Amino acid sequence: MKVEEIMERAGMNETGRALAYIKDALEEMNTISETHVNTTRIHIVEGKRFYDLPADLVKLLDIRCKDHDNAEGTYRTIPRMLYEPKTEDTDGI
Amino acid sequence: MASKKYAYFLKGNKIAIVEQEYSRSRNNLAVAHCTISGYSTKDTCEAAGGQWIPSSSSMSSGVPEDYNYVSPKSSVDTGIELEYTYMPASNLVDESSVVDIPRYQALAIVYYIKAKLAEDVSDFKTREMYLREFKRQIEKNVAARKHGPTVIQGFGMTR
Repeated sequence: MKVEEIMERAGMNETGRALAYIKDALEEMNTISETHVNTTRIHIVEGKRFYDLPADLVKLLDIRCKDHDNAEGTYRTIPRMLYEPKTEDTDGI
Repeated sequence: MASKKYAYFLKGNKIAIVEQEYSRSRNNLAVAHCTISGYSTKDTCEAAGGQWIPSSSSMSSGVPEDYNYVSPKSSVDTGIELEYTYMPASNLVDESSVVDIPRYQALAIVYYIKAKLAEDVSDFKTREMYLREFKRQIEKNVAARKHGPTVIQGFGMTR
């Protein structure tokens, strides 16, 4: 559906405001349910603990790691830690 | 290829990946014993010329130390796979832009905009009504994609 059709249905005539509201709605929709799902892969670097999340991420659905609990090189869901590990990452990377 | 154990936690706008480090040496429990058999106390053992090996424990402050999470110990190409929802709004620039969602979900957006317009004039009752409709429309759309009845298995046959 085009933006102008949505504007007509909502009784709006300000395009900029309508676009802002549509973007808000899309973000809200993806928070409530999974309407647009994407998958990305990141390299694990030795000694590097912290990794950037994708810029367009709205809701994190699953995190899988290669070789987790298997030796076949398949990706499996990894658990979330309740507490940070007692071994600190001293370099902060 | 060896099996590994990973875990994650979130810190600010970053995700932390840690790997389980298994230190077997800390987990070996040794019962106090003498190097010469037949002696069960330290005094008799040493008197007989043996060496008394005291007991050791893997417990430090009540927490087993054999599993410890540290930063990844080796590099793995494309080792992390993230599945997430995103906002498909990069192509929205003017009125002729097409919103990349099904028609049914586009109707939910109409409700959302009406809720926002009501909010702008401080009509919160109307706002709540439209937001409710917005959520109902999304839930109906999600439910429409699931085919068949919801089957719940009970424990009826275990008696």
